[in-house]
This record gives sequence, structure tokens and C-alpha cells, in this order.
Amino acid sequence: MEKIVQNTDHDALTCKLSAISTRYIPCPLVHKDYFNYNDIYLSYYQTLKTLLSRRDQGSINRALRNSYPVMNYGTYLRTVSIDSLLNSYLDERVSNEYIQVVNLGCGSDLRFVHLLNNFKNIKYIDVDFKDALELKGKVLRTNLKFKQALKLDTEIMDKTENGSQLIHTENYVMMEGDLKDTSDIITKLSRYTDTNAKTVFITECALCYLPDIAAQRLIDKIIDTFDSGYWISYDPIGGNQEKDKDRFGKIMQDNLKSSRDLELPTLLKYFSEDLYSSRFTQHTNSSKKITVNIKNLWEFYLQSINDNEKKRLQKLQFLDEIEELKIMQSHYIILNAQW
Amino acid sequence: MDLDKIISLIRQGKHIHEETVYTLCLNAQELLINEANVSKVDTPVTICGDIHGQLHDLLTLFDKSGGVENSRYIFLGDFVDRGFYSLESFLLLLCYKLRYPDRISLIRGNHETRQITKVYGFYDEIMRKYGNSNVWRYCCEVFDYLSLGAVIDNKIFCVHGGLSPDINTIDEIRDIDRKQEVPHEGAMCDLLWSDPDEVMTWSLSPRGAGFLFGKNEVDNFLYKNDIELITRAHQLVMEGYKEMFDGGLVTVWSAPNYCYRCGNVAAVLRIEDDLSRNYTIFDAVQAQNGVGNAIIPTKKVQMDYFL
Repeated sequence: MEKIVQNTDHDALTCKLSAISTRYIPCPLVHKDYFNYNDIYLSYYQTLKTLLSRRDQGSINRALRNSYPVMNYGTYLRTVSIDSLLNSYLDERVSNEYIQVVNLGCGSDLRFVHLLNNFKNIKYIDVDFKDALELKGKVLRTNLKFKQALKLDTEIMDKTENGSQLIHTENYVMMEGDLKDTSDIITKLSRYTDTNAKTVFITECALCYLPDIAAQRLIDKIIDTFDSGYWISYDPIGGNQEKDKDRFGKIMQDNLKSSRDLELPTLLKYFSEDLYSSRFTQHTNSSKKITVNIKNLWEFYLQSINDNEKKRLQKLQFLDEIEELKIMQSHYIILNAQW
Repeated sequence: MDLDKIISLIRQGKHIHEETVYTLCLNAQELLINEANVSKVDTPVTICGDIHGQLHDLLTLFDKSGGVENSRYIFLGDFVDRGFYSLESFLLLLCYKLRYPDRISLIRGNHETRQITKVYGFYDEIMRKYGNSNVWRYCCEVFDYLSLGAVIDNKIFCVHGGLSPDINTIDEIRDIDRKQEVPHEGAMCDLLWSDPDEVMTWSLSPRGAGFLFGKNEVDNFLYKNDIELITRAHQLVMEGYKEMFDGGLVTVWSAPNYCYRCGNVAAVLRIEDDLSRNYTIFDAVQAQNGVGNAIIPTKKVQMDYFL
């Protein structure tokens, strides 16, 4: 199961590369201060390719060739929705405060490169399974661009993980762990972060793979442990089968189960925006006040992407079916929870 | 060539030889070249929307609506792309056209072009199935000869997408030189790309081609051409069909569970001799043993969700 979940990172990376090569991202507004966006992802992929099996390379290449405009739109919305929340949170605070950013289930995501470059007063922790992080570490060490960006020459050797590829510098840490093992995650987070400092948590298609109890425990423990935080989550939701006769979630579950044995344990339980956000608000064992905002990505497209940007997107490729985009995007949500 | 035998092979999803496809396409071109831009069709007739390579669902469509042996059909285009059996779906319709020329009209959709099939799957499907692009080229030649619309009993206008600001009367469509790749703008493009919407007048389409048109444009078109209904496809409708503008326009969608993940039902519309409308709703073919292997080839990369 772990391997199956880790493989979803290939999908995420492939989608991102495709959206980059078709120029959906970088977004000229949200990513205007993100230097060399394309270059960073492409050169990561160039190096990664040399470390992947021929089979994995082949499947990524095929997927890249076959990716549809509706998928590029979706990847754009996913990336832009997360980055715009992240930017506005950091922009408001980071000039006079120290902020920590923790990406839970980071995979090959490279947000840290831009954030560390754009904001001086932050520390970034990438959390994932050991295999995933070792591969990522190897790519980052091999590629000169990242070596310099991360100031790897100033690396602090971590005694406990000596000999591994995991990177540990003053403001960037790779922390291996299984999100299902909450106490281990909390113990390690307390080692690498200051639980009194403001901390941003990102779960980008990560909670959806966890069993209900494990996901809830992770949310509860993190809110308990960190004095003040900001959680950004992107996930699919199944839709209301009873009331709206919405079968999207059920079909998604069946398709992913039969094609790759991938399970989404909570997709149909937290099938609506309200139910999904209840996982953050139902948190009862602390007196912390939590403000939660959630919208689906179709609403995000309609409300948060301005007309000029919409026109720019329309010119990139012929989108053959708006209704399909709407159906898909109304089954993905972007949430932010602040405490 | 033995059309019935080929039809039977296609229905079973068997491989069709390149030479056979070549001959089929050549014969189809010879037949289609003599058809008008807007063909005239009599009632009763069954109108079908987008198919998108969902062969198994196309077979259900024929089962549920009488079959081409017994009734007349108009297909509103988008036979190919997205689904896994674009070639088989298109060839089946071509064979029926050759076998029963008066019982089936094929209208061109915005996907029946070289440019779009290169992006949306038909081209890749052919490369996968034949290792070269010949069959794709033969099919694209046929696309150029498909008609642009149909008129049922002089009262119902059928088109894939919708109206065009450059077209006031159906006669003006007859003047278009249709035997070409679909242009990026102009009347021919609009007929295949436009969508109805709640707009006051012609507006920019979010698809990047064609226009949005509203009740005013539809009412005008109906009045000027002395017709009572526009039937079109082109847009996914979760319920299979959707009437708009006091019943002056209907969208028909015939690909159930579109792209194997949208969860919609499909519909076809039968127009009776008195022009009354009867919708038949149908669902997607069920996968065997709860697994999609019967329908979805396992080799296809699954990339259709954000993970």
C-alpha cells in the first residue's frame, strides 16, 4: 500500500510538468516572484529520470504526451490555489516573524526552493516516507542548481541519519516518517521545529490516502501541539450520492481501486465541503479557536481567477468540455484552517 | 467487401486491417461527397449526441433505440477522442452509413479534425493499435466530407455545436465549402464549437473557439428559418439532455459516464411523425466482476485524477 500511495507522486509530478510545458503554470500573478519556475521543475525531472527505472520513465513520458487540457487546468488550479494561500499568509507575516512551513507527504514538490528564496525568515520541513525523500535528496544533491539554491555546502550532518541522502540544512529539513504514525511524526516535528512559532502545514492530496482515524489523529495532534498554525489542504471529495445522485466519488474509488489498487478511505465519508472541514472544526480537546475556510476548485476558478487570467488560459489549448472541468473541479477542495 | 462481416468484427472489438480501413474510408468519402452540407431527413428519426469512442455504450444506444436495421438515425458528431475505442466507434458508424445510406446521417463534430484528434486521444489510439498514423490519416480525410447539419421535416435543425453570428439562414450554411479542416474561426468553426448560454447577445466562448449565444439568437434563428427546434450536442449534460429557451433548443448527450468517470447518464431523442419528442435515457455498460477490464484496456496509463 505504501508503494502504491508513493506512486501517486509520479502522477502529481507528471501533471505539473505537463502544465508547465503547456504554459498554464507558472501563473503570472501568483508566481510572479518565483524565479526560474520552469527551469527548476524541468531540471529536477532531467536528473530524476537518470535515477528511475526504465518502466517508470516510460510511464511518465507516456503520461506527459497524453495529458489533456482538462487535466492541465486542474493542475493549474491545484497549484495556484495552494500557492496563493501560502503567499498571502507569508507575505503578511514573514517580514517581522519567523515562520515554519511543513509539507506533509511532500513527494517531489519543490515549493521550498521558491519559498526559501523569496522569504528569508522561514524554515521549511519536507515530510514523506524514507524512500521518497532519499530519491528526492539524491536528485537535489546531484543537480548543481539545487545544491546552490539550498546552500548544501552549509549542511548540518544529522548524526541519527548519517549516511542517508536526507538533507538537513539550517532552514531546510527532510523528515522521514509515516503520516499514519502520529506519535512518531509529532516527536520528530518537535525536534525540528519550534512548536511555539507560527507554522504552516500543507497536505496536498495526502489526507485522502490515510485511514479516517489516522488522519483525524494527525489533525488533532498537530493542532494540540502547535500553539499557532495555518493548515492548507487540497483533496478530492466524493459528492453527495443520496441527495444529488452524485456518483463521481464512487466511480473514482472504483476506478483507482481496479486500475492501481489505490484506496481513498475517507472520500465518501467526508463527501462535501462541510463534512471535510468538520475534521478541523470538530477538534474538541483543546480550547483553541479555529477558523476554517473551504471552497471547491470550481468555485475557486470562478471567484479567484480574474478575467485576464481566464483569457490567458483559454488561449493555451482548446478546452473541449467546460462541463467536465466543472464536474471534476467541484470534487476537489482547497481548505485553510487557522488557529 | 463484406460489410456485415466487418460490422460483426467491429462490434466484438476485433482488430480491423489497415487495408480494410482504407477501403472503408474511400467508399465512405465517395458516398459523403454527394451529400449536402445540410441533409434533409424524414421523421421518425432518433437523434444522438456525442459518442467519444465509448463503443460499448454506442452498442447499448442502438439496442435501446431500435437499431439501424429498423429506424433512422442522426448522429450529431464527436464520434472520436477521449474514450478508448474511437476507431471502432467511428468505423461502426461508417459501415452502417455504407450499408444503410438512407437510415443514418453523420454530422461533423469539433473533434472530427486533425488538430483536435492529435490532442484528445484518437491519434494516440491509432499509433497504439497500428504503430503508424495511416489509419488516422484515412479517417481524417473522411472527417472533411461529413455534413455540417441536418434538417428534419423542414422543422428541426440539427448541428453539433450551435449558431454563428455569420449565419442567419440555413441556406447560408449550404454555401460553405465544407471539404476542409475545420478553420479556427468563421461560420464553419462556430457551427461546431458554439454553446447556448444565458447571455443577452453573442459572447466570447470560454472554449477558445465559437461563441456563446442566448435566447434572442435562438428565437431569431427559429423565426427566420421557420423552424421550431434546434437540436445540438457538444456539451455534457448529467441528465442526458437539457431543453432551453422555452423548448426552442435541446442539448442531447449520448456518452454515459463520460470518460469513465463523470457519473452522468446518456440520452437519445426520437422525433415522431407529429414532431413530438421522446427521450430515451441509458446508463453506461457495467464493468464485469466490478472491474473495468472488460471496457478499459489495462495498458492505458491512468492519469485522469489529481493524485
